[in-house]
Parts: sequence; C-alpha cells; structure tokens
Amino acid sequence: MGITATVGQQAASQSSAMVWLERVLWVSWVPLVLYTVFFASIPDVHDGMHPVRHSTTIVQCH
Amino acid sequence: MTKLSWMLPLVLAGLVIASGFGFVKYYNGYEGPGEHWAPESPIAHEMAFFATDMSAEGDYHVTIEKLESKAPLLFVEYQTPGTVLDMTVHSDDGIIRLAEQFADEGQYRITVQHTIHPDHNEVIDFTVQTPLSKYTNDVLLFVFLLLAGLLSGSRLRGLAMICLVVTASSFAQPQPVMAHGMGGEMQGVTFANEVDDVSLTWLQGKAPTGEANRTPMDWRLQLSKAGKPVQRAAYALDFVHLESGFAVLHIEGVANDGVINLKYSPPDGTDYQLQVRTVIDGKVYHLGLEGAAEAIRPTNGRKWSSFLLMMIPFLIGMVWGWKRKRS
Repeated sequence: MGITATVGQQAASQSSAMVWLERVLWVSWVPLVLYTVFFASIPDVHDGMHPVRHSTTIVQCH
Repeated sequence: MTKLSWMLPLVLAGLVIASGFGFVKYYNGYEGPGEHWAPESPIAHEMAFFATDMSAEGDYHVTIEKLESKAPLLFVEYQTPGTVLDMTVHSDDGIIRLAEQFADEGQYRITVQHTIHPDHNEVIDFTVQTPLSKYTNDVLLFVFLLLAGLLSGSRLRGLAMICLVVTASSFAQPQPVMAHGMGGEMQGVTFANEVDDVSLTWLQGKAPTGEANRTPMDWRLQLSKAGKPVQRAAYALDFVHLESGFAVLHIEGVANDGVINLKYSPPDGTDYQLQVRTVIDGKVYHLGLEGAAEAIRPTNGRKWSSFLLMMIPFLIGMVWGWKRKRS
C-alpha cells in the first residue's frame, strides 16, 4: 500500500513536471524560432538564414 | 434582401474585375517609367536607370542624397539620411546616364549641375519604394505568428493546425538581392587592373576604407598608359557587388587626365570590384580594382524593437487560442 502511494506520488509529480515543461515549450517555441531565424549572431546561422533576414521590412541584417 | 440575392454572382464578378483593374493600376504605378528614372520610383534592391539631357558638353557634378527614411521602426533604415553619391562626370553630348541599386526606401534627391555654370542644373526629388515581395512576406509572417500563437494558446496538437502554420511559413520568398552570406565566395567575372601597358589604380594610392551606407568613401580612379595618365578616355564604370555578381552602380562618362572622380556610399558591407570598360587608342580594355566596405551591424535596440513587433501577433494569437479553449 505504502509502496503504491509512493509510486503514485512520483508518477503524479513527474506528470506535473511534464505538464509544466509542455506549457513552457508552448510559450517559448515561437520566440526561440524568431531569435534563431532573425537575430542570432552565430556566423553559420547568420549565413544560412541571410536571405530570410532580408525578406521582411522590419528585420535589419547588415 | 433575399429578392436581391440573385445579384450576388454579378456583384462578385464586378468586384473581381474591379480588383483586377485596381491591381494593374497599382502595378503600373509600381514599375512604370518616369521622366528621368525607370521605374519612376526606384524599387529598393533593384537596379533603377536614370538619364537626363543637359544639352551642353561639360563637367557635371552629380549627387544623390537621401533626404528622409521611411518610418524606420517598420522599414529598416540601412542608409542614414545624407549623401550617397558625389561625383564629377564629363559628358561630351550633355547626356548624363547612370543606374543605381538603392539600399533602402525613402525620399531621395538627385542633382546634376554644370561645374562652370552652376545655374545650369537639374534637381529631381524621387521616392524609393519597398519591394512588393517584402510586403507579402510581412503579411505572411504576421499570419504565421498569429496561427502559431493560436496553436500555443489553445495547445492544440491537431495536424490541420500545424499544416496551416507550416504552409503559411513556406509561402514566404527569401530576398536574394544583396545577399552576402556565402562566406565570401566570389562569383562572376573579375578583371585585372593591368592589361598590356594600360592600368587602373586608386588615385589616392590605396583602396578606401569605411562603412557601407554612411559617409561616401573615396573611390577615385586613375587610368594610365605606359605609366602616364591617359589624357582623355570614354569609360563605363560598374561598381560590382562581388558576392552576388551584380552591379549596384553603373555610370558612364569621359575621364579627363585619366581620372574617374567617384565618392560613393555602397548599399551593403561587403567586397566590391570597380570594373571599368574604356577605349584607349581604338582598343577596348576591361580593367578592375577591388575594395570593400564594412558592414554595419544592427544595434541591440534595433533587434529588440523588431523582436517585440513580431511578438505582438504571437501574443494576440495566444490570447485568442487561450480564450477559445476555455469557452
């Protein structure tokens, strides 16, 4: 009985952590994509994304 | 209302035809030629051609100034207001011709003025337009961010929604012009600075240094034959962006004492070759000299303002999706 309760609590806290992780990911995936595509100054990323950075009116490349 | 519903197909047909006419009218305005420029309002990142007949032989001082940027928050300002081109061109028949690729949109002025008779001049104000594809991409990015926000807000994992987001993002077209991302690869033909005994050198002895889109740099050139300045030679100069292989400036004239007098702020921070086609003693020569302009990196303020502008549709989408999920 005791063992079952402990396992249940662990499972509940794990699933709660997963829910929170999922929430954080749903909120952060777009800012992360935007940063990588348009603003990251890592040279390889910049070179790979360069024409995309020039494709809108609001992003400055160089 | 229902009695009039039979008219709906006619109204729709009329609307489609009217929008067709409207689009053609807009497109003609977008790329139609003007009195001096073709197109009348040059499109940023595309070559625009200028010609004016000054009707008299002589040296002309040609300047292009940027007077005003277009809403810098929404339209990135690469070139700050000020002089872009400053050169003296000799024309035997009085016609001044040039072609230029502008770095960005805004209000500009071109002045052509006789160096000895300053009253003999032409001042033309013109607008440089935003490429149509950039507006399309802005709208698609807005739709993508709104849908992405909606997806996040409602935490939907339906395939249809993801397909919509991916479809919206794939419609956008990259802007290939002035692309300089391929690690300094050079394309196209480049020329030597010396052929037989004819040479092209920097008038000030070395290549200029400076930043793109800022104060004009000193690109003055000297044409020589057998070590002596060429007295008089017709030339066509192409200022070639080496990473794309395209010219960003083209100008024609006559070099007196072999001097091509150019001060110019190029539209991109990268390597260039100044390619000169000239005729000396009945022979055609293609000569080139290489130089570079430094790139100006976006400031943190510029990055943040762009990023925050992009977050607005995402946040609107999230609130929308969140409310939809709850109701």
